Amino acid sequence: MHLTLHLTDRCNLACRYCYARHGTADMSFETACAAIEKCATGPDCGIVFFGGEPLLRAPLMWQIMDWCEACRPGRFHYKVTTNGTLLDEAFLDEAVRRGLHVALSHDGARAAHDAFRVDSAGAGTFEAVDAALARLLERRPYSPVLATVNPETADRLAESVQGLQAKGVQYLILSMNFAGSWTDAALQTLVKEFRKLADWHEENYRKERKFYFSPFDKRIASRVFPERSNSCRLGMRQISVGPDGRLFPCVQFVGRAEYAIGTAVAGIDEARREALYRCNERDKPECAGCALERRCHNKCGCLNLQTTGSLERIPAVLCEYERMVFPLADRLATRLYRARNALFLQRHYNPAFPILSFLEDLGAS
Amino acid sequence: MKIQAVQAYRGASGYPTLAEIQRTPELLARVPARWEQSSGFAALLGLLALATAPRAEAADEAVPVAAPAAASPDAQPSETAVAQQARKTAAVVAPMLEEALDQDGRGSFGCISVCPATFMPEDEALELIRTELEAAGLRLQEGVELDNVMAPVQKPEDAKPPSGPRDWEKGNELGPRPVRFDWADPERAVYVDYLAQRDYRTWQGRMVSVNNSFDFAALARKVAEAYGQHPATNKTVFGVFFEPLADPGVAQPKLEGLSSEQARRASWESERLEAAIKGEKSRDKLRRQVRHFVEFLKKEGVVGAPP
Repeated sequence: MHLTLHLTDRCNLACRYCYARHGTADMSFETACAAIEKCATGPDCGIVFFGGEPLLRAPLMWQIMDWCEACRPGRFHYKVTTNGTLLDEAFLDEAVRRGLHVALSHDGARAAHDAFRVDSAGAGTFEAVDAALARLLERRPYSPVLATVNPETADRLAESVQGLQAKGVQYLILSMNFAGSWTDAALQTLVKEFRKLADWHEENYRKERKFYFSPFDKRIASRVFPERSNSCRLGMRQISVGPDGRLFPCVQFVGRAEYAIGTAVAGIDEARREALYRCNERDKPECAGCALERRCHNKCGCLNLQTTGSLERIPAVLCEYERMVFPLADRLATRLYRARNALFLQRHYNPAFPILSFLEDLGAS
Repeated sequence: MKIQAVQAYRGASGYPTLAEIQRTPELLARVPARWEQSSGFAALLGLLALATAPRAEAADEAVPVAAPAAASPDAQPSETAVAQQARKTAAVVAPMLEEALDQDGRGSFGCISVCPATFMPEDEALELIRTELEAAGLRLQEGVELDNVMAPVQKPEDAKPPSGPRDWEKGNELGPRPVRFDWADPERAVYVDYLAQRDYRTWQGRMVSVNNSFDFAALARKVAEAYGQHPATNKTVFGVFFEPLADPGVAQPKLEGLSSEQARRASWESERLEAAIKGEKSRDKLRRQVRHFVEFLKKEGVVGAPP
């Protein structure tokens, strides 16, 4: 179980694709503790600090971690997702000392980043975030970077991804802004970029450059582990806690009263959670008979709600995207498998790969 | 932009699931070069192997065992069929699976055909064979040629396909050409050939026309006989596999009483089902041919003996 604490609605940026409703609400320490008490079940629970911009509440973050470790030492692991503008040396020192993992939003190429990730005055934040990325990777080379792809900057995708790798990023999670104004032309551009990236990623494997690229590697994993569900199991594996203490099944539901599944004080309304879960799990009629149905993201409740206004309806652009990327990912994997590429085999089929990879890097350093 | 169910997708069949690869654990013995080059890391790998002993044991079982008997006579005190054949300086062609010879590999296509043949994609078939043979411990190379092993007719790779009988006659004039074996383990002198649709032309010496029937089982016998004539100087083993042309056994849908749209849909669904079943059956049948061959190799001590 992961508990995502939305420490604040406030953000110091005004990213043009952001889905969040920026307000002024802040979470209190008491609310955070109550939510953890009620919802953080299981022997190993992740606490994710989220926002708004969670680093605006850095002192609260440390306070919550202190409390967690005092109550149940070693039971929790911690992660924060940040826009990077407040990611200074002092914060990173503290994060490393406390074992807080940091994920950074960075859209890659300057033009792609500055077109959307702007401050309240509309100024791009590339310089600040790029400097933060360097600081972060120096301390935590495996930190994940989250990049968002927009129709207006789709032609920068390959440049962005390759540029991030050149800066030392080893773990890149790409998110599509499906709520953007995608057109057939933009999708054509995107597929060209993905083709370039498929060749380039093959080269990564051949040259034994360790780089996790979610559009391909995650889809390959969906073939390697067919028993894994493509569903996020809405509300069952992760719960978001709004600043006011209301509980929601995922991050994009926060603030929408009709999707609340309890409160930090009263705990989870199991009937409500179950109802939303079942609603999200229902097979989509338009996907009946689709060979990719078990692997694609058609059951991402957050995405469906954001783009179609309903958990049960999928956006056409998602379908187009999945039909574009799956063949590229599968062809890439087929080529690598036929070449018996050692890094490919180890990464995708050896459960010990993360530890082996880590040990290798330890040996190299 | 539209939502569109993908009705037929084979893109993922070119690489295995985790469950499938666990049958070939030696594949995971392939490690990145950097891991191999680091002595400290190699030590860590050793520790990890100890920590995951059950998995490592499973891997050991599938790792290649015996060198050819001729190379290590002490390891093979009793004279096997292979050794006997070797003394006669003739190659051994592994016996083919009787059940496959009796039941599989026959079909037709064209306007006369009620249940048209569906061929396995050749690369999929070759990959399946490779996976099974590597699991048995063979170290395979692709496209190996062997002196004096010729196919009766073979067009060069870059030749235009024949467009009519006259072209084909010209093709015939090319005469015998060396066989490029689909997979070979030269160290163990094992050579395997998979007879796919295009091999029909190579071996039968006739064009595949719009109406045609196939008998891959008969072709396999012919090819095996040809390989058996190879004057081997060591114990060379040939394996011959063939396109199974599986029959899906799907009943035709009853279309009476359906609207034309419903009938079209039912017919289309039935075709999809048929193709899926054929694919699965073909893979299963070919796998059985290959495993039969592997059993033979084990019996002959070419690869690890059965437990």
